Amino acid sequence: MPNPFIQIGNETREMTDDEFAEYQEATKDAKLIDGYVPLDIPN
Amino acid sequence: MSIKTYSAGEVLTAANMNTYSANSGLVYVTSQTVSGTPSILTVPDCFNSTYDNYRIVFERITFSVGGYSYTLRVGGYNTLYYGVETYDTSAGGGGVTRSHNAAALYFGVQDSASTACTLDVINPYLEKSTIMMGLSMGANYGGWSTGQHANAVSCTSFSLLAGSGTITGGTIYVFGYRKV
Repeated sequence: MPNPFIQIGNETREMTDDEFAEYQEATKDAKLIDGYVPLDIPN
Repeated sequence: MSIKTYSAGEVLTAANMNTYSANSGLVYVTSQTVSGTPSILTVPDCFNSTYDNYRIVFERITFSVGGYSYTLRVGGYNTLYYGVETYDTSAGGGGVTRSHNAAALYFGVQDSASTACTLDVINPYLEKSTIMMGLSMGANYGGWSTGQHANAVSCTSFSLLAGSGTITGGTIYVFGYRKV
């Protein structure tokens, strides 16, 4: 499976393995918040 | 630079108006529109010696997955973030996400529509800790967050990291507070 993408300025590319490891560490505590309800609203 | 003032009846010349424009308090620096489906969006070269403090605006950032906290980083550094993200939702149940010597600063809750945020960034380019504080909202939540990168280093870039999934649209604007 390819790594996720990173955008730097106008360039979007696949993360390197080091970048992906840092990304996983930076978001490891992200969890679905209590009370979240998806709403069908226009953006 | 002192504030330009005018007297009653005075003709406003082009030079006067140019000076007036140059005296504006908040000055556009750069913007970055999401391209593709990144999980990290970095705005490079947005901090420099021209300004000490900045206002950053997330305009309708969208994510592939809603309900997770996104994180912020400065200068690509991945340690020494401390802060508090608070949130509540229209359905009830809010909470707090804390960053303590974390790899990034938890700052707001992402959604598939209407994710917006304004934050002030204090001294990112100076070799001092970078302080961040702001307000955020998504489809059915609101919150405020504060935090800092407790490392006395100079940073020139800023990154938004999706807590889950990818960033699918929107624009980040960076403004500088004009020095007096």
